[in-house]
Amino acid sequence: MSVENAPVVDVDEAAIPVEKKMYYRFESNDKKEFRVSELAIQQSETLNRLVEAMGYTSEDVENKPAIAIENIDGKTLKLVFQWCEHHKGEAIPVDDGSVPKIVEIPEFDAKLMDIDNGLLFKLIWAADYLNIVQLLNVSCKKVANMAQGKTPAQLRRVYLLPSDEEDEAAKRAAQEAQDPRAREVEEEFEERKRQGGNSFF
Amino acid sequence: MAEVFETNEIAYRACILYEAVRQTPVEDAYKNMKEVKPNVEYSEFEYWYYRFFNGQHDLNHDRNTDLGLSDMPMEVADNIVGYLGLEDKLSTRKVCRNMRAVIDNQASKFDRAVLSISDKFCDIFFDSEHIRYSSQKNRNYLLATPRKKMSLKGDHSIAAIEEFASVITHPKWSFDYLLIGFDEEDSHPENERKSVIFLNSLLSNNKFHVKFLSIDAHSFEPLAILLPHFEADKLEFECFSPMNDTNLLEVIVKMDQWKKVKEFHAGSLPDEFSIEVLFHARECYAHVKLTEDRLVKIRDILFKTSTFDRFVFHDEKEENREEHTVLVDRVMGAHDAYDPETKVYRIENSNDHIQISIKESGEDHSRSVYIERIRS
Repeated sequence: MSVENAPVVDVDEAAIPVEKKMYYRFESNDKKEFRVSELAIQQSETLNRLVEAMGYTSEDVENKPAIAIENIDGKTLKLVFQWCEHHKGEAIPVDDGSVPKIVEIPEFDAKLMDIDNGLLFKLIWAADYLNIVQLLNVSCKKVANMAQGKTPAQLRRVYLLPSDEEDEAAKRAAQEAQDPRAREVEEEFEERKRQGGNSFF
Repeated sequence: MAEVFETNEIAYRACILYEAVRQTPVEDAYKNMKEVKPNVEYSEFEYWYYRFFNGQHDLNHDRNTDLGLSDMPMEVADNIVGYLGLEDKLSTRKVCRNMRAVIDNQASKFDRAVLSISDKFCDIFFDSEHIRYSSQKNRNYLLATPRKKMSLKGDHSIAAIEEFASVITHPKWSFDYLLIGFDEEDSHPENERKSVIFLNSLLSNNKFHVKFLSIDAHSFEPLAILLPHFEADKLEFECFSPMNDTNLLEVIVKMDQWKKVKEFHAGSLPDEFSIEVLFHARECYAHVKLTEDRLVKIRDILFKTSTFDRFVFHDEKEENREEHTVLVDRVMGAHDAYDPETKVYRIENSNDHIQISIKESGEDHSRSVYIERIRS
């Protein structure tokens, strides 16, 4: 972990003791450290539960190791925490199941998500994993906006999806190939499934 | 060509990078790459081309580390498609089976679906998206959507009707407005009949609830055939040709679907049309010739119903016909309940009254007769 690379989000170190705010330390899977305010953490149901369960004092936060978030890289986590800090204190929306859903993308979020597709999907995966409802909503809305007016072939690129044929070819290849690499692929897939929960596809 | 491109993946990617950075169109770039590496897979080429094109220039990137929608939990795909409009849902359904399943599992409400049929072309509107099926020579048709244009085998109207039916019969989709219409000038009544029978067969046993249903055709046959599928609060219909057969109308007005309509919008109604079949509605807007006989029915039947709020009849002004004001005063004035000064018709044993007003409208000075029940 390098201190100058720890790109934390509007943290004013001097202000912490005065405002008596609690800042937690998190570490990405590529060892980037982030300090995140207690209020910002509340946007993530997963992290909020985690820190509540840990019951850290201000001293614990400084003295104990940073909380590791093992499946998210630093680049993605930076975006996640920037978003949480910007939207801290805001009410968490409740999904009433209505379709089409109405979600506006604020200017800050639009700028934050001005990123390539690959990173956008990592952000979505992180928002889902950390259960940050509104970040998941705006990032999914962004993908939906990118899908507007596209042909199925263009959509495959937007969603970064293989076509059915490619999908099947890949599965067949994995099944037929008896070499060690094929088994590795299968193991990797199983591992991903374990990490990602009920992956649908 | 140098063997290095066959054996060294990075050297080959560098060639694609060169094309992408120069913004060579994807088709041309692919052609050039075929020269460099003849057995290149398009999907493989395309992946790198677009990656480089979008500013990610890392030649050593490991494709296996990419995350796409297929790596997401189901609720993420569900969330994304929840924001899509109908046209984008239809396009996304064609991406792959999994996306189709996600979309088909999600209940969605849309604004309108329109099918307009003529002998030369058919138009479909799904919300704001316009799809046109134009008839071509040799039993081909041209399909034009905002996304693509292509010539396909088959009959233009059959293709359009199939597409329209597949969307409106989707078990989890609903529409507020459904409009089915035939072109008055450019659709032969025999083709109209064939189209309606075909559409009816595709709707099979489906029943739909819509806010507004519109069926415009040369005869009442399409309405008679299609109305059993729908429960509509508001019904708009038009019959372009004179009614040769009043039996059809008798069948229609006996349907529950007709009796449940709360608001009618009728185009030019034929002279043979019995307007009392509209009288159970709360509101009605109709283009009709207001004859003495019809005004008598309005006075003696409509005025005795307590359900109606407002009926508006639009009628043309003709030189050799009695002025509407005179005719209305004469027919209504046969009863004491009517005051020609105020054009108020009192209702016995009620504090409500009926207000009649006659307005001139349009360049042809046609007349609109408003009949409103004013509740106390």
